[in-house]
Formats: sequence, structure tokens, C-alpha cells
Amino acid sequence: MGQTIVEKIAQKHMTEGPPRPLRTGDFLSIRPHRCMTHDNTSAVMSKFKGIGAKKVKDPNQLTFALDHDIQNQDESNQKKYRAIEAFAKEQGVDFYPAGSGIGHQIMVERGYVIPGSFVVASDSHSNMYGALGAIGTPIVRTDAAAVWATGEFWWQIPRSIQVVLEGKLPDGVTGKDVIITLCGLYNHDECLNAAVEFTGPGVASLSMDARFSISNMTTEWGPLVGWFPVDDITAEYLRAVRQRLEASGGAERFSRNDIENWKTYPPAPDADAIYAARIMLDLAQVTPHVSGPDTVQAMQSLAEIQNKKVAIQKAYLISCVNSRLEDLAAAAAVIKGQKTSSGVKFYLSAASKWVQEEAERRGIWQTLLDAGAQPLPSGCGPCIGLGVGLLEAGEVGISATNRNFKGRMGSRDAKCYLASPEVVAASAVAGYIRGPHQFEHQAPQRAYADLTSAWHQLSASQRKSKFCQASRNA
Amino acid sequence: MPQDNVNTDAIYGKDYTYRDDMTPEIMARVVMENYDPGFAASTKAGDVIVSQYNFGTGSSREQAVTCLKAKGIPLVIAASFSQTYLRNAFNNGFLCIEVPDLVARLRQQFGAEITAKEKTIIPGDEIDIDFTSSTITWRGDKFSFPALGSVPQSLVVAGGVENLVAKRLALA
Repeated sequence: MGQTIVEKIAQKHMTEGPPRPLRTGDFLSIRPHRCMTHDNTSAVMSKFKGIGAKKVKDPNQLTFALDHDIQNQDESNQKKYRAIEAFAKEQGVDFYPAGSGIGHQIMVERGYVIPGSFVVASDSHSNMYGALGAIGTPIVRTDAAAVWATGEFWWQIPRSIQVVLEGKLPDGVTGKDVIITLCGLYNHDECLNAAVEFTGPGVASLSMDARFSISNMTTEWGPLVGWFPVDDITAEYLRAVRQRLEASGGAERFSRNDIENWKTYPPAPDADAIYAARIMLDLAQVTPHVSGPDTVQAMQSLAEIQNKKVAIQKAYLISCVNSRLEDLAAAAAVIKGQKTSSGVKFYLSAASKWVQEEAERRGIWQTLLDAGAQPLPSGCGPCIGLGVGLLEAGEVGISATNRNFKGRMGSRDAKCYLASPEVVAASAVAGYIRGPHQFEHQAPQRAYADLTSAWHQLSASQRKSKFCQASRNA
Repeated sequence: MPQDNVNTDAIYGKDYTYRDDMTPEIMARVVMENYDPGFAASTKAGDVIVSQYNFGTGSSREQAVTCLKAKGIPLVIAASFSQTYLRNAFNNGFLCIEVPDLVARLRQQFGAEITAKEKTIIPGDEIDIDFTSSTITWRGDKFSFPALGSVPQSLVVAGGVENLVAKRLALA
């Protein structure tokens, strides 16, 4: 019986676990390829010292990237940032100061995430690394302290669900619309805590930035992993990463030869792997959708919400889900030569300094500024309710971010909707939620096959050995 | 708490998450603020939370667990949990158990309150949780729940993952 991708990649990074091929439900110790912490590095430092550790086990395993509270110039915050930097220097850990970018973007654009690797961060959006064919999954700060001290953390193999993508997205429909649609269609725990494997002929039509948006926001959908196969698009992305690293340093993270190897022998699940469920999605059926307010489990088609003329006061083109080059370019194409509505504040922040520099070179950044966008330093900012530009009581926002929870981006008496960069830009100009193009009110049908009966039959005999093994490991 | 997807921003809001000077006393006063601003005042130490599906969805913030500990909540029962929430819970020696049948029973019992959109319903009676038999008894009805896996059990017994790692380092 074969293994799913999560079972295979976990197997490769296992240090302690069952003496047989890994299966869903197994407990094991994992030595991740990389582990990122952001502002919470400070909290992990306290835990690390609290457990009596002095030296990090493997400095090459860690990346520190300050991205959360970077606008905060208070002495207490600056002191915290200085302490993190000093600790990084002392321990020999790669450190990215405030303004470098959002940690998840740093991880993918600087070569820390590679196909077939197991990469974690003490942050829920670690799922994003799946776009590069890695297992990216969230850990929590106590796990991070364990990784620093021992190189390892405990994990349980989640059940795997296949999402088969067919067709091709129509023009004006984005990766963000795909994931908003999946969140809205399968909103009853179908994929909660699962590892999702995207597959099918539709994958090849999705750009890397679209894959990043989808993998990133699988977190809101419920899965712990959102994995994409490795193909020509992955290789092309990694070649560009490699080129930048050759100029900036960090080229030792992977070689040109590695890229060719990943392309020739891509990490892949076994053909006879066992899945808990299978979802089919025809990309050609996806139309622009808006998520919310207050929850990602509710979606409306653009056609539907346009009719309601939902007035907005704030628009956000920011965050690790949707402020990469393709996102900024798409918004700029919509807004070029126009001005944001007088009643709307439009906030802009690139996913990283590198993204911003490239957007500047291409004139995209200036187009957005000319339209009236207010730039913020590259970081999380309003997406986590910190710094300039939060939603005030009674306000409504449209945001290219991943969470619209009550109170997250400002007052709990504000409302927030999530959408693609194009919709955010068009709404900023109009003053109410709308898109740049007209679409019919349409969404794909649910196509969910529960395969758990097969899964239970096959795993019943293993369940006993699994629990025996888990108690031995504990 | 008759709501699905009670998220980490609801449990512990942005105004406190990125502050390092929060004491357990202050944490206990702001718990669940974005879900029900009256929650902290109307509940007390020893109260058990019962919520619905996908409890703790959202960020990986640890304080979404430790604020409940600070409030004296001994455990959370829900129809299902976000695994990332469970990692924080088990790593901090905090118990979470999935009992969808009890949640369904409570929804039936408190239909009027739920229809009236009460955010926090406090019946005020006792609940009996027996971990040796994995059984909950409430108003005479019995509900079983899956036994905690051995790894989470050992984490809860050790009082969290930090204690386990400290022990391991001491041995190394």
C-alpha cells in the first residue's frame, strides 16, 4: 500500500516513530528542514531559556523574520527587536529585520523552502510553503522552542484529501477566488486538520503566485497542509530565486543542479496511496467571489454582492496571501489612471522588500500610488490589527487578506470582506464592493467523495499497532 | 457557546496578543472579548466551556489557550477542534475533548436561548467527566468520547512540552 505525499515527506524527516511506513494517525518526531519564527521569536526565547537550553541545536535550521509589529517604534518593542537580533547573532541564525518582508514570503523567495522538504513556522499560514511542493505546516511557540533545543518536534500524520483541479480559470478569476470558493463550498469540517494534495491537469495553468495564495489560505479552509506538485512553473520560480540568491548571498541553500533534479524526479505521492476524501473542482466554473463578513465559511458571488452596493471605507492590498508581484500588477492594471473614491482609504504593502523593489522597477508601485494608495512598510500591519489603517467601529473594509474575523483588523463593530486584488482595486475606485469585469452569478457545484469506508477498512488492522507504537514513543 | 468556528481572535484579541506585559490576571479579564464581551464577568474558575465545530480556528497564538487556563477553565469540550489549537493545548497541558453528541444534546436543550442569540448560555449545573472510562454524564445522559492519544496524555501528565524537553536536555 502506497503513501500520500504527507506520509512520504514526513517519513524522510522522521527521527523517531513506527518501524514501518508511516500512515495517517501515526505519532512521530520530525526534524524539519527549516523553522521560522517572527515577532514571537521573543516568546520562544523565553521558553528556550526556561527549559534550560543554551545553544540552539542547529542554527541553519532556523530563520527569524520580524514582520508583525514593525510600525511600533515604542522603546519596549524596539528593545524586544534588538534582543532578538542579538540572540540571532549570538546563535548564528539568519535574521531579517523589520521592513525585509513578511516571514512566509522571506521563506519562499530566499530559498529556505524547497520541494520535498518539511518546513514549519510558528505561525498558522505556514501552509503556504506547500505551493513549492514542500510540506508546510504550522507549529506553535512551544514546538518552536523544542525545535531550537532538540532540532525536533512531535507531530501526528493527518488524513490526506485529494483536490483534483480540472480546466483553466477564466480571465479575471484568480487563485484567491479558487480558495474563497473552496472555503465556501466545503464549510462543514470536510477538510478540517487534513493534508490537502492539489492534483490534476488544472494545476499546470496556475501561476506560482496563484498557488501561494491558494496554499496560504488553505489555513482558513481548515487543512494543516496545502501541497502542490512540482512542475515547470515551480522550477522556473526556483531558478529566479537562485539567481537572486547568487547576487545577494544564500546561494548555498540549493543548487542549479537541485532544480533540474526536482524537475526530473519531482516529489510525488504513490499511485496507490490512500485518501480520506476526494474533491473535484473545475477551474473553468470558478467566478470571482467575496468572503464574509465575519467568517470565511460564507461566500457570495461578485454578481450577488455587486447588486447590494455594499459601501466601503477602507481597502487593503496587503499580506502574505495577496501582495506579491502578480497581485500588485493585477490591481495596478485595474486602477491605472483612476483615483480611489473620496470616501475610501486604500492601503498598500508588499509581501516583501524585494517584491516592492521589483514592483517599483516595473512602474506598478507608482501606478498604485498615483491612484491614491497609501503605502505601508512591508509586513503584516492591518491584517493582524497592528499599526496604521485599522477598521473603526461602523466601517466596512474590502481586503486582499485571509481573515475577516470580528475585531481582527480593527474594531469588533466593523465588517470585513475578503476578495482578490482586482476586486479590492475596483472597489477602492467605486467606493462599494465591485469587480473590474461583469460575471454571472455562478459557482461550481460541490463534488466531494468520502472515501473513509475504504480508509477505515485498510487502516483497521494498523490502528492497534499504531497505538502500541505511539505509547512506546511517548 | 453555541457557535461554530469560534476563532482565536474571538478568544484572545489583537489588542493583547502582541503585548508582552499581560499577567494571568489581566488575561483572565479579557478572555473571549471579541466573542462575548460579557463572558469574563459571567463565568468563573471551574466552569467548563462547551462549544461547537472547529473550535480554535485561526492563528497559532498560544494565549488562546493560556487565557482560558488563566481564567481557571479546566477544559474545553467541542464538536471538533482546529489541530493547531490542540497543539497549543496539549503543549501547555490543557485538556480538550471532542464530544459532538453532547453538543447536539445541549443544542436541543437550549434551543430557546440559541434562538434568542445568547452568546454564552450558563446552565449552572454540574458535568461529570470520567477519563478512565471516557464518559461524560450530564443530567443523567451519558456520552462517550475518544480516549486521548498517548502522546497528548503524556504531555498533559508532564504539565506540557517544555517540561518534557527540559527533562530530555537534562538527560542528554
